[in-house]
Amino acid sequence: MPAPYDLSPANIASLASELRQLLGEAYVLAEAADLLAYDCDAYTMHKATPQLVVMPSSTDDVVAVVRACRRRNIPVIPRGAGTGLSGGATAIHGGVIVSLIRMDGILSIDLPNRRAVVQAGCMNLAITRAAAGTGFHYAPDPSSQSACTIAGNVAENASGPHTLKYGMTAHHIAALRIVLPDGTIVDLGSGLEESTGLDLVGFTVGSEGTLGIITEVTVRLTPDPQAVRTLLAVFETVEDCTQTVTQIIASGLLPCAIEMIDKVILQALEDAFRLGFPRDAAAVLLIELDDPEAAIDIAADRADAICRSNHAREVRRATTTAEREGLWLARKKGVGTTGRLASSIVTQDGVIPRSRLPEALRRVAEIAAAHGIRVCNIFHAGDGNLHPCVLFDERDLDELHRVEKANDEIIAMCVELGGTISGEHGIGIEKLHHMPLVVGAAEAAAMHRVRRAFDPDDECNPGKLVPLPSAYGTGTAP
Amino acid sequence: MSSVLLDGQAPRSVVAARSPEAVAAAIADARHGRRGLVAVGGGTLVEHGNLLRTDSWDHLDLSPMDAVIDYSPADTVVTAQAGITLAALQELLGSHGQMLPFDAPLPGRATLGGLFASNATGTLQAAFGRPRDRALGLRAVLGTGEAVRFGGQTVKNVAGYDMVRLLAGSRGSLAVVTELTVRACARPEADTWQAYEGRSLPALLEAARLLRNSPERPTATIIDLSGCLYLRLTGMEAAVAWATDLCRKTAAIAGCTEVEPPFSPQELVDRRSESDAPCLARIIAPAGALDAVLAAAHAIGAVGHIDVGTGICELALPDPPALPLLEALSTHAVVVTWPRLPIALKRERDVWGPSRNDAPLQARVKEALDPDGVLSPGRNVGHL
Repeated sequence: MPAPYDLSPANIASLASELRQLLGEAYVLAEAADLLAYDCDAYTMHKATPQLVVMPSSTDDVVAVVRACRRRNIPVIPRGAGTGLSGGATAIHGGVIVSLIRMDGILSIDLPNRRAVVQAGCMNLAITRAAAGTGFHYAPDPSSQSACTIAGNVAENASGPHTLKYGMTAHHIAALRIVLPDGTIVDLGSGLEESTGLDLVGFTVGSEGTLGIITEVTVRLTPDPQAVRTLLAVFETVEDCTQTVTQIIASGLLPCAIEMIDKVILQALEDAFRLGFPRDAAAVLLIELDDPEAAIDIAADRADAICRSNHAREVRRATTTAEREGLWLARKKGVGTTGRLASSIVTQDGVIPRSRLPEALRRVAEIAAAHGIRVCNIFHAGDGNLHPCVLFDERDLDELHRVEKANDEIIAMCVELGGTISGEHGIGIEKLHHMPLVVGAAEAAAMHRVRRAFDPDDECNPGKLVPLPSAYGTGTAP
Repeated sequence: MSSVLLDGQAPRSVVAARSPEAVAAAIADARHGRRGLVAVGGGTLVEHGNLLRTDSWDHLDLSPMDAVIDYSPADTVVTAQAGITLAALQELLGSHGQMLPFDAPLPGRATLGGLFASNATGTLQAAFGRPRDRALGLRAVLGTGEAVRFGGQTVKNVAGYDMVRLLAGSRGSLAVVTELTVRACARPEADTWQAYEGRSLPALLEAARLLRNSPERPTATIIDLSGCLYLRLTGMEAAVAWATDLCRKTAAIAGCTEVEPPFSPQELVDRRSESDAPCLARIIAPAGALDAVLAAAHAIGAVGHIDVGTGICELALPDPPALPLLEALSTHAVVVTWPRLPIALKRERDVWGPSRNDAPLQARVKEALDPDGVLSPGRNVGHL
C-alpha cells in the first residue's frame, strides 16, 4: 500500500481554505454533489470520491496546489477531460483531483519547426483546428479527440485509427513541462529533433499521471496528407478478412488505417443507420491510404486487388470527402451502436502480433461461447489491437461474473499469442491485476525505483499502472 | 575484438560477452571491484562521451552476441541479440523485401545494440525516426545486476512505464541491453538520390527549405558544406518519379543545378566516423538557427553536413580553438555536443552541452537503475 495519507476532515478543510484563497471559490469543489462527477473517469466499474477537486489556471497555480497538498500529506490526482478507459483519473486512495481543464490554451504554433506548444488541458482536436489551413495537423486521433485533453493523451500514450502509419502519442511529443510532487518545475526534452541525456519525455508518456502534473506539452505537427482514398471491403469469412490485413502490410503498402468491424456490429449499424451493408457479411475492413496524388490510385488499386484475391465480395472506394465520411461513419458509430444490443458493454483492449489475428478472433469466439456471453468486435486490425465488446446486463450478477472471467481469459490469450494486456486504454486500476502476466517482479521493482526518482513519497496518483512489489510472490520476468 | 581506448585510457580487461549471464557476471565483477564497465558493440560511436570518472574500467565486448532470435516477416518484427551488425540484420530483412530504416555509419561494424544505445541513424532519420521509435522490447541487465525484460513484440503496448524509451539513447549508462525486438518496414519500391549545386551555401539552404516544405516531401534534405545539396526520395515508384521531376523543377527555380552525386547516402554518413579531425561536433538546431550554424561552420572552415529535415549538423573542425564560435550558437537555442575532442578540452566542459533544469532528475534516474555508478561512469550528460 502507498504511504498512509492524512485525509481527515480537518486537514482537508484547511487545504480547501488555502486553495480557495489561491484559486478562487469557484475553482475548489468540496460539496458531495460536486465531487460525485469526479468519482471515476470513463471506466465506471470502480468508483472513489475525491476529498477535493481543484482547477488551477497556470503552472504556478499547480506548483502552489501540489506544495499545499504535500505539506498536509494529501495525494494529488491529475485529470484532463475524464475520458480515460482504465480508471487512471480515479482517486482510488482518496486525495485531491487536479483538473486541468482551465489550462486549455494554445501557446504557440511554430510551422518552420513543425511544433505547437499547448497547455495541458488543451483538447486534442483543438490543435488540429488551430493549425487548419497551414498544411499541418496533430496526428494522434483517439476516438475521444473532440473531448480528451493533450496531457491526458500523454498520460495514457493515446492512439487511434491512424496510429498504423503515424504512430502513438509517444511519437509526437517533443517536450513537456511537468510539476513534480515536491513542486519543482522541470522541463523535459528540448523540443528539438533530439535531446541529450536520458529520454525522460519518452518515460513520462504513458505514465498515467504518476510522476507529476504535466502543465505544458510541445507536440510535433504532421504535414496534411496530399490525397486520401478510403476502401470498404466486405468479406464472407473472418479468416479471409484477417488474412487480407496481413497481406496488405506484407505487400509494402502502408495504409494509415485498417479497421475491422464484425457481423454483429454491422447488423446493429444497419438497423440504426441503413448504411447499405449486406447483413450476411461476416466482417468488413475499412482501409484508408494517403499518398501523393501521383501514387494514391495505384496504392488503392493494390489494396483493392489484395482484398479481392482474399475473396472480398465487394470493395467500395470513396474518392470524395463526403464518401469518405460515409464509410468512416460505420467505424465511428460502431461502438456506440452496441448500446442497441445490450444494457451494458465492456470494451476490452488487448494486443496481439498481427499475424495471429485469425487465431485470436477464433479464440475470442470460443471463450465467449464457453461462458455463454455475447462478444462483438470492432478494432484496429492493422495494429493487432483487439477491442472485443462484451455485451451483458449488469443487473444479472451471474452474467457479470461470467463476463469478468471471459475478460480475464481474453487478456491471457493475448499474452499467450505474444501480445500484451493493453494497447491504448492504459492499465490504471482496471488492469493492475493483469500486469504480472507481462511485467515480472524485477521489472516492476525497477519501474518503481525510477518512478520514485520523480515521486519518492507516492504523492502523485498512487495505486496506478504498476502493482506494488507486494502483488508479486516470487514472480520473475515472463 | 581488441580493446577500445577511451580518451587514451586502456581498459583493465576486455570481457567477451557470450550470454546475458556473462553480462550479469561482468557487472557483478565490476561492482565488486569498484570499477567502471563500458559496453561496446562495434565501437563506431563509443568515443562520444565525457571523460570516464574512474581510472579502472572493463571493456564489455557485446559483439559475440550476434544471433537472430526470431523473425516474423508477416509482422515485420525481428528480435536479435545486441551484438548483431546492422549489415547482417539488413541482409536477413532484405531477403524478405524488408529493412530497418537506420542508415547509420559503418553498418558492417555498427551493432543493433550500439544503434539503440546511441539512438543514432543517418539520412533516413527525418522520415523514419530514430531507433527508439522502432524498438518494441528488449532484454537487459541493469546496473544492479538484475536481468530484466521490458516491452514486447507489438507496436502498441502501454503496460507499465516505457522503460524501452528510457533505455534508448542512454548509452549504456543504465543497463547493458542484450537483446532487442524492433519493427522493420518494407523496402521502398524506389529510392533515389539527387545532388545539386548552388550559388552559395546560404542559397542552398534556402533551396533546401523550399524543397523540404514542398509537396514532394523529400525523405532527406541534406547540405554538404562542400557546396552540395542532396535529396533522397523514397516510396512507390510512381510517387518517387513524380517527386523527382518536381524537385528538379523546384531546385532549378531556386537557382540550383543538378550534378552527379559526389557521395552516396552511406558514404555521406560514413565520412564523419572515418574523419581524422581532432574535433567533431554534432549540433541540434531549430529551423530558424540553421543560417547561423551554416555561417559559423563556414567561418571556421568546418567540413560536414547539415540535415535540414532534422536540424542535425555533423561537423569536423580542423582547429580546436574554433570551439567557442560554435558554442556561442547556444544563444540561438542550439544544442552543441562534441562526439570527439582532445582530452584537455573535454576536461573543461560537458561534451553533451550545458545541463538543463532536469539534471537532478536525470541523476536520480541513473541512481535508480545503476546505484553504484558502474555503467559508463561519468560519460553521459551531466557527467553521470
